[in-house]
Amino acid sequence: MATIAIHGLCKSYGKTEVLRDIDLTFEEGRIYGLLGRNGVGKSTLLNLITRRIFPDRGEIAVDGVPVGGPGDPLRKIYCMSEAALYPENMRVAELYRWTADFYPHFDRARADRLTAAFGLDPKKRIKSLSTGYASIVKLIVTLSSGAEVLIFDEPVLGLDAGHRSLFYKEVLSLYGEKGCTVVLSTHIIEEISDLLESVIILEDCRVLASESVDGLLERYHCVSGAEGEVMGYLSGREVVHTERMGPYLSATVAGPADRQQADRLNLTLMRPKLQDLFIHLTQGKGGTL
Amino acid sequence: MHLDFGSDLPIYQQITRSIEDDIVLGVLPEEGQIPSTTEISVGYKVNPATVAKGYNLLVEQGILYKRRGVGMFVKEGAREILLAKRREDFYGTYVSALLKEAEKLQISVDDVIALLQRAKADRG
Repeated sequence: MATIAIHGLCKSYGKTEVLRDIDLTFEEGRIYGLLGRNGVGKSTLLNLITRRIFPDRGEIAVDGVPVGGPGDPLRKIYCMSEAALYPENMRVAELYRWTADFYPHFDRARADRLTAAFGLDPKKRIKSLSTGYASIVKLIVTLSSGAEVLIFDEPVLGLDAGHRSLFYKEVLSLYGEKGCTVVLSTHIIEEISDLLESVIILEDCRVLASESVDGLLERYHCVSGAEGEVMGYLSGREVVHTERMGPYLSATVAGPADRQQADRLNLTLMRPKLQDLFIHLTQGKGGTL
Repeated sequence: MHLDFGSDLPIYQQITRSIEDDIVLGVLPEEGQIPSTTEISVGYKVNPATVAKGYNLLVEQGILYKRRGVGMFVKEGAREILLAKRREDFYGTYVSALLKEAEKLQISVDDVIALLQRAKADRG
């Protein structure tokens, strides 16, 4: 299995700084969610890991071996990206044969099974695939690659609900079998929050969070009720977000919940949802809190 | 088994509760095998570590045991353990909650007792 260690990573495009001093570790055998607002640098980070682009500063190593160095550590990784990188005239079945040349552990039987399961015609040329099927062929190749680290950059673009569900099940099935490391970089957070073991949130050129999903969610709680009572509860606490609806106020608060105080004030306590917490903790370009 | 993703209860606790319910109801017989973590993981689209957390909790409580290379099974005596636990929890889970709700609606404890006696008579 493969661990990816990132240290002091910096990347700018001209005057625009995208990543600053990024320290991250992807431990082997876990399912990670890589989250961040549009334009924050998720794809940049993934392209740096797979050496499609090069860092300004910093190191990336797979199992201790620097990428770009001898030993070809990148063969342990397969990354599906948003970009259309496959030869457009190639047919799907040819693509599988071609990939097997680069990835000797390519699982053709799995690729064929998934092709049928997703209703993809293996005789079609890459260029004639719809947006959804272009994503599907990429994720089939990734799932069948046999690599120890599978990276999915926006895997469900254009996929209908049935195909999204099938994809998530196939990821879990493969993970259950092989224990590979999986990185899902996606905007569709609520759909995958129960699949993830760990989450990495990028914000403002830095890593805002890198921990288990449970760990992150346990550090916050939600409270709601009559405005006056909620304001009483909030006093002295770090408030991440509030939402007013008529006489009601709901808030997301940092720290452990005080059940007794909430009961006394007739407030409802709830655990935060990953997507909501993500939105509250990040603001993206031009956003306001 | 039923998981409610809208619920506030953590998934692993929903899993343990579902399995306990099924054991109490007899849907999962003692010495019978339960679905594997991968089956539940894929079926409900949750991380297998979450399922494992629930299963391990039940192993610790003497409800389940693992047969190496085969899977997870319901331990003999599990049903009795669960019934005893639920009888103990009955007061806190149902009686206290009942009286709290009654208080909200300004129904006195004596009125609640009268209602219970009515229910007893209706059941015949």
